[in-house]
Amino acid sequence: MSDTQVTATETTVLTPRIGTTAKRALYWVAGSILVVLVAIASLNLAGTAVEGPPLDPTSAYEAGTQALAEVLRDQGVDVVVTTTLDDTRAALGSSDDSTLFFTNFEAYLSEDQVAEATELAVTVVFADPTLTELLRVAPEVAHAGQNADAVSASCSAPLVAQAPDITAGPSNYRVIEPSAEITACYGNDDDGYGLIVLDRGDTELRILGATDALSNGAITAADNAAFALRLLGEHETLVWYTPSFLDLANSGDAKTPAELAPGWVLPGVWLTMLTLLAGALWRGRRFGPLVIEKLPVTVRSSETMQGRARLYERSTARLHTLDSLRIGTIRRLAVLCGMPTTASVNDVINRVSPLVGQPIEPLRQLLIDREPASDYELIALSDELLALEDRVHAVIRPA
Amino acid sequence: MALSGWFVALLALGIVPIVVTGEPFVLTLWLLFVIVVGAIDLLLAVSVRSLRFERIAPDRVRLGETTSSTLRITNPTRRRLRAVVRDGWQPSAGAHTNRVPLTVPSRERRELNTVLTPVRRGTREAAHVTVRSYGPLRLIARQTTVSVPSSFTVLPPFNSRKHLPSRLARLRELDGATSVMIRGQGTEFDSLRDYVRGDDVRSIDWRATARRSELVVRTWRPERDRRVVIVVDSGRTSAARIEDEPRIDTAFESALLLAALASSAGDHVDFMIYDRRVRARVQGASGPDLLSKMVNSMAPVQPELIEMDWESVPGLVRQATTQRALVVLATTAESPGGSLGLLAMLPQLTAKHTVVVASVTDPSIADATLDRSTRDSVYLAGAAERALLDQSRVAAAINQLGASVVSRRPSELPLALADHYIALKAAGKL
Repeated sequence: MSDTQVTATETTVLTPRIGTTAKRALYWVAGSILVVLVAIASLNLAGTAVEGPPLDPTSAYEAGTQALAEVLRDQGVDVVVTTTLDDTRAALGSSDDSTLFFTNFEAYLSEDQVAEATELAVTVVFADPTLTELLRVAPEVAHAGQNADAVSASCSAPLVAQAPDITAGPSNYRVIEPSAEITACYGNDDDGYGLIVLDRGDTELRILGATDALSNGAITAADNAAFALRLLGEHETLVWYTPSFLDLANSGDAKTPAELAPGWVLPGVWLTMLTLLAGALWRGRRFGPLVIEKLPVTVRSSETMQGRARLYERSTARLHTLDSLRIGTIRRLAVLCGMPTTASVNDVINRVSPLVGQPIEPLRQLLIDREPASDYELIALSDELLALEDRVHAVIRPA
Repeated sequence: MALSGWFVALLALGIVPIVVTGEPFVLTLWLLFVIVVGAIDLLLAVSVRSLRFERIAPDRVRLGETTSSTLRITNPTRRRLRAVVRDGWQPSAGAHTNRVPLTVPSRERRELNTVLTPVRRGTREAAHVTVRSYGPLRLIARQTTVSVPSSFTVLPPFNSRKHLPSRLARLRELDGATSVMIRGQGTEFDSLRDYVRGDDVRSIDWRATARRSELVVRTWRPERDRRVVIVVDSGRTSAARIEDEPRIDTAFESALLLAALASSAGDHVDFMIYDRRVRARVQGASGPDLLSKMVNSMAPVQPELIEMDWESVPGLVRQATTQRALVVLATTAESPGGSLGLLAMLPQLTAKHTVVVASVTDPSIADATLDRSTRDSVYLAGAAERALLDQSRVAAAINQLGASVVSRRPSELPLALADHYIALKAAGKL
């Protein structure tokens, strides 16, 4: 065809300038920043969950002990919070006017470390020791299970004189070998005690089961506050030691993967991630907008026929289907025998019968009378119709 | 802005100094280095906004043929343009490559050829040109899209023109123009000439022979200067695809072959595409001009999802000609329900004209009647027989109204229609 050249020079730049893009994006950026700020503010205001590590002097959650630590500070006690045994040792130094409070909930400390800790200060409060820890540091005391009733002093130690009733629990301890060095307080009916004081000469070891009394949630109940202040505020310094996983590293030869890996691994991982990101931007950047094209409508021509077939099938219109097939066969037979397509069925049967050497009656049955009672019969009849056509075809036009 | 693979490679190369030194801060230094180098590269890239574009597109091309469009890019800046260019043609324009690397030195112009093999009829458009202009290091590119609109028309293929020579030969036989010199089969008396051995003795004009001493025969020739009006239905049913060709395209093929044949036989052809409004019309053209006008008018027409308005067709035919004419209606005559409008209108046309209804049939229907292998296929065969019966009923109704039906599969319809025309002409029924 003709190849007349047409020149187009009218051009407009479609990509917006950076300034325009920035202006458009400003609304959304500002909106997102606002949403984030509101989310942070509402989280802070709504405050929060009741979860948190138990007996943590920096935690304001219900199980924490920030309230107690703050009151002790107000009372002039120097509260030092430590997380490793080394720090604890350093904080205590050789002072003989200090209290050590520690727990081993997470079992970060080995038994040796626990034993060492119980001898570090003049007064050591060991909260919630387990059975095996007791076997090592105080074999004369045993674990007596969990009990959380309110209990009263039931001993004459000066330590508890001001606090006859405290919240008990979670643990109780029992004295197996009573002696003059052992004082047990806050007992229940089952010979379990919330506090057991062992006098060890240089050190006074206090085994504390009633740790709930120290928590933020319960400190104001009963005589808990008085009890806690007397228990921990005796000396000028209180070292509050919460063991951490750093103690683990010091307790054996095991090293963390971070220590084992060479120094370039972490920056290498970062660089790999950044490279992957840059690669995604490189491959994912679209080369200009899509070109729009209006597609023509597409209609499949046999849709009506297929719809009708499904309709026959769903309503099991066997006779209707068979009649359609019969009409088709009769028309084709008529054409084969040189009759007009409008020839009647009887004429066609009369013409076909001698051709295929079949009596008229079975042909009548096949082409007119029989009604299919099942799909199986329908298929069989339709096959017979095809076979009849083939036979007539073979007779009239032999290959 | 767009990153290149080199930028990613440069970034990845940072692993070398990090491993060698083993220091984490080297990562920060490397990132700074990459960003600074990338920014400098970006600043040195030529701004696409300062380029000038010109597109030279073909005007028309026949479907199935290959053409090319040229994009001229002028770089008026002092810097060298290193770019990858995408010429944004529509997918069906069939651009072979649409991402081409291109370097244009300062103050020079380069041409970019895009080879196009369109896959669909109609108007194919190019909306824009997208350019990625890289800096000298090819790390980061400025990407900008510039609208450079242009378009070209893809004409119907007229594949059936391969049948034209054989049908023209048959026309010439009718005409008595061939060396065979058979007795003219037309009905129009042409002339008297001397008897030559081989002539049909029945055509001897005894009266003229008596006047002269030699045998004289009469010759006839087919009628000339008849009217042929072709109406193509562009309604709902023409959108249906049969053997991967929409009905309307088959109708166009048939119309083109018939028009080519009729115009060389000396008849006048009027052509129109209609659904509820006239989508295209060619009147009063003849010879090569007729075909070129027809393909141009057909090119942009696509079927609309509306019902054909048959009532206005007699009026349209009357506008085209007041003489007796051969009216060809290229439409669908499949189901009695869908053909009601056509059947109701036909008597008005057949009263004055010779009417032929050209309809495309779906060969898959006939195939479906023979497949009786499963339960589903037996039901489908029943529905197919039903569809065939409907078709023959419509055809019978059309015949009863005095028109004739030519219905074939898409590949055969143009030829069948042409043969029907030749038969009518030979019988002198135009």
